[in-house]
Amino acid sequence: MIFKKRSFHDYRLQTKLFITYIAITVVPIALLGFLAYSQYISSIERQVGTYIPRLLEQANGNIERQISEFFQMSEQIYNAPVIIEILRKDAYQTVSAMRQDEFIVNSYLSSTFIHGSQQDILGVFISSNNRLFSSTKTDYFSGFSTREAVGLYGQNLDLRGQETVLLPNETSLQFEDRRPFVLIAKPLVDVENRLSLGTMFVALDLSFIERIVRPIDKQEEAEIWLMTKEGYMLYHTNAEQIGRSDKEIESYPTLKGSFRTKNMLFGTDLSSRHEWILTHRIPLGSLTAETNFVRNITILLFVIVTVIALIIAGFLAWGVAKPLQHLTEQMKRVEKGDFNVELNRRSKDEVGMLSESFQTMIKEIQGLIREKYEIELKQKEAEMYALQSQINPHFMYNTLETIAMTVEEDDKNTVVDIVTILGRMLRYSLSNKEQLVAIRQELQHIRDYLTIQSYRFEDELAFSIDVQVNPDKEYIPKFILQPLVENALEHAFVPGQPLVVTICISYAGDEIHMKIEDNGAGMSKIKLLEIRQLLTLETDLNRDHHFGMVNVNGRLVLHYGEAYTLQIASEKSAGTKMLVRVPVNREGKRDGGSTNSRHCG
Amino acid sequence: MKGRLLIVWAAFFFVSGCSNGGTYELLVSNGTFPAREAEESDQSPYTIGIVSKVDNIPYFNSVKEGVMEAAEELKAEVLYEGPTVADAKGQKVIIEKFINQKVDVIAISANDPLQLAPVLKRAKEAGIIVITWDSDTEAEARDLFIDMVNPEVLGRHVMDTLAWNTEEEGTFAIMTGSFSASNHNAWLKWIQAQWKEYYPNMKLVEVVATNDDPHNAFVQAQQLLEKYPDLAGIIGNSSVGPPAAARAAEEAGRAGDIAVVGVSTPDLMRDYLKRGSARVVTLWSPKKLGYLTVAMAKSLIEGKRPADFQYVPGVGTIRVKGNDIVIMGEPIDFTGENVDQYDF
Repeated sequence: MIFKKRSFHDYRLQTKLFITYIAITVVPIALLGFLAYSQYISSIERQVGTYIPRLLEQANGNIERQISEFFQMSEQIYNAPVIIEILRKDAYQTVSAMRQDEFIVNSYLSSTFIHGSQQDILGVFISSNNRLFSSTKTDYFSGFSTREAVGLYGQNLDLRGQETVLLPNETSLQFEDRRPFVLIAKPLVDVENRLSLGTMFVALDLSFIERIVRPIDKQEEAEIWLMTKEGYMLYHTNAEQIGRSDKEIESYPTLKGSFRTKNMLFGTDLSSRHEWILTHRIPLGSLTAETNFVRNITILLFVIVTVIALIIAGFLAWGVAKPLQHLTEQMKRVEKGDFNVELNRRSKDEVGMLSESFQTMIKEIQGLIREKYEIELKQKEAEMYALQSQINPHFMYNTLETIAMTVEEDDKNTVVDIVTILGRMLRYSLSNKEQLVAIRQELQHIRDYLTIQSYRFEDELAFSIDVQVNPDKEYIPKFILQPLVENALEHAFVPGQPLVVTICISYAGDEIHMKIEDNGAGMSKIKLLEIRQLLTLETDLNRDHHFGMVNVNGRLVLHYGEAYTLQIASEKSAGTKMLVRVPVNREGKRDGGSTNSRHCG
Repeated sequence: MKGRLLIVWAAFFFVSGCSNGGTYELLVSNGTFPAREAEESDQSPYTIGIVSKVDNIPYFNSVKEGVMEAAEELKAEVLYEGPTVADAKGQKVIIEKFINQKVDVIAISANDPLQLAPVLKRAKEAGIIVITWDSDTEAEARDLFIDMVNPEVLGRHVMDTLAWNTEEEGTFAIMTGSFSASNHNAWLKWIQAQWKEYYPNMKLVEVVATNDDPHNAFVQAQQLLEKYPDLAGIIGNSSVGPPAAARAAEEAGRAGDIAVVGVSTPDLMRDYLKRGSARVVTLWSPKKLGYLTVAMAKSLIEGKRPADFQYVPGVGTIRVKGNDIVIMGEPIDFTGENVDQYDF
C-alpha cells in the first residue's frame, strides 16, 4: 500500500488528475448504477417468485376441482337404472343377449359422455363382471386383446373403493393419435345391494389442464408442466415433453414456492390430493427483457458519457499540466543560458501569472546583463578613444620639421624650448593611465601644443587661455580639449589672416564650461547640421573626418551621460565656437572665491 | 496506457454486472413439504351404538349388513343391537346399556317417539350424540334424524301403486307396523291424504297394526280376508305387512284378485312378486341406510354436519330438510321383473 502510494506520488500531475477524476466520477456512478440495477432485478425476481406460486396454487386447485368434477360427472351412470340393471347381471344365457346389453350400455356411454357437454372426454370404459363396455372418440389400442383388457382394468385392478387417477405410464392404453391423456378410474358400487358393479374409466384429454394452465403465463418462453412426485410429466406446454420425466425434481429446493438457477426462474406448487406438482419455468432474461433493454441503453449512455468525461478530464489535466511542463522546459533552457524563451501564455489563471512573472524576470535579467556588457564595452571604447587622442604623428612630424628648420636657422634657444615642450607633452601622454586629470595638467598640455604650433606658424597663430576655475581641484577627462584644438588648427586657417584660438574655462552653475573659439573659416550651415547629426547619431562612420569632435563627444557622453554632449556653433567665415560641459567635481573641491566667477566672453 | 485500458475494461465488466449464480437458489417457499396426513389408525377412537326396532327380521338384518360394511370401510367401532320384541321398553334397556358403555353415538330406529324421548335426552346430557334413523323420535331428544325417503313421497307413491293395480276402484285395507312408530304413522297419513285427494272411488275399510311381527301380521291378514270378501287390495305399511298379506291371499286362493302393495324388502317379496301374488313393493336399500347411518354418525363425531345435496361416498347425494333431517334418497319399486337385481 505504501509502495503504491509512493508510486502514485511519483506519477505525473496529468496522470494523477486523470486518475482522481475517474475515482470521483466514473467509479461511483458505475457502482451506483450496478447496485441499483441488481437491486431492481432481484426485486422483480422476488415479485414474480411470489405471485407465480400463487397462480400455480390456484391452477393446481382448479385442476383438482376439475378432476373431482369429472369423478362426479361419472356418477350420472347411477341415474340410468337400465344401465345399472345390466351391470348387475353376471351371467348370460345367449351371446345375443350379452351383445344387446353391450349395445345398450355403449350407446348410453356414447350419448351421455362422448357426445355430451364435456369435450375433454376421449373415451369411457366400464369393466364389469368380465365384460367391457366402451365408447371412445378415436380408436384405441389397449395393449391387450379385449378380454385381457377387461382383466387388466376389471377385477384385477384393486381400487379398494377409491377413486384413482391413472397416468398413461400406469396403463397400456393408447389412443390412435397417441394423444396424451389421464385416466380416471372410479369404482362403481351398487349402493342398494352394497356390491361392486365394476370399474368405470374415463380417459380425459389434457386440454382441460391446458385451459387452466395457459392463462398463467402467455409468454412464449414460459414453460408449465404438471408432474407427479416421481417427476413423470403428465402435462407439458411443450407437447413433446409429455410422458417424459423431470430428473431434476429431486434437487428442487421446494415444491411449493419459487427458486432460481443462473438463468431460469422456477415456480412450483404441490397439490394436496393427487400430490401433483405444477411447475412454471421462465428464463430470467425474458422476465427482465425490458429492464435489460434499459440497462443496455444505460450502459451505452454511461460509456458515451464516460468517454466524453474522460476526454474532458484529459483536456483539463492537459490544460493544467501542459503549461507547467512548457514552463519547466523553458526554465531549463534559461538555466542553460538561452534567454530567447517564448511564453505565449494568454490566460489569467495562476499558471498564466506564473509564466508572466517568469517572463518579466527573464527580461530583467536579460536587461541587466546587456547593461553591464554595454558599459564595459563603452569603457573599452573610451580607453581606445583616449589612446587615439594621444599625440598625432602628423604633429610629431611637423614639430620635428619645425625643429629642423630652427636648427638650420641656428636658433638654439628655440630648439631647446621646443624639444623641452615636446618632451613634456610626450611625458604627459605616456605618464599616467588615469582617465581624469586636473584641469591644470590638461591646460598645460594644450598650452604646450599651441606653443609648439605657434613656433611653426609664427605670426599666423595666436591663442589665449582664460581659466576661471580652480585648475587643481577640478578634474576633466584626459585629452578632452586637445582634439578640439587640433581640429581648429586643421580646419580654421584662412590664408592671410592670423588665427586666434581662445580657450575659456568657467563655472556655470553646477557645470564647468570650456569654450574653444576660433576666428577661422567657420562652417556652412549645412556642414554644421551634418556634424551635429553626426554627433547625435553616435555612429562610428567617417572616423577620420571630424574625428576629433566625434571622439570628444563620445567620451563626454560615456563619462557624463547624454546630457553632456559637445555643442558646436559656427558661421561661415566668422569662426567656430565649441563648448564642452562637465559637471563640477562631486567631491566639492571648488574654491570659495570662485563663486563670483566671471563668464568667458 | 495499457494499465489504464485494463481499468476501463474492468469497470465495464463491473458495470455490466456479470455475475455467476449457484444452482437452485431458493426465492420464496410457501411452507415445507406437506407431509402426507398420517394414515388413520386402525383402532377407531369412536364407538357407535346402533339400535334397531327389532332383532332378526330380514329388513333390520339388511341394515346390519350395511352398518357392518360401513364400520369396516370407515374404520368405526359399531355395536348393533335390537330388542327381541319391537317395543320401546326393550330399546330403552339397550340405550341405557350403551350410555353406561360410554359410546360416542347412539343411533336408533325408535319404536315409540314419546316413551324413548326421556332416555335419549339423558344420553344427550351424558354427552352422547343421538341420531335417529328409519323412525324418528321427538326433535329435542336427538341431534339428527336420518330418513330413508321423504314420507310424503313414499306415502303418496304407495297409494298410487295400489290405485294402478285396482284400476282406482274397490276397497282396501292397510297393515301398518305399529301405531306408535312415527315413520309408519307419517306414511299412513300421506297414504290417506293421497287416497282422499285423488281416488274417490276407493274405500279404506280398516287399518291394522302388525307390531312388526311376521306371525302376527299373517294372522291379521287372514282376518282381513275373511272379514272383507270383496277386498281389492292390501297396503303393507311396514316390511312384514306385504309378505304376510300375499301369503294369506295365496292360502285363501285369492292370489291375483287382491292387489298387495306396500313397503317391504325384495328378499321377502321375491317369490310373491314373481308369482303375481303381490304387484309392487316399494322400499329403499336398508343396507344403504345402515351404511349412511354409520357415515353420518362418524361425521357428526368429527363435527361435520350434513349439507343439502352433499355427496356421501358409497351412498350418493343426500338431501337435508330443515336442519336436522337427512333424506337418503328416492324409493325403489320392486316388481316381478326387476326384483332379482336386488339382494336384501
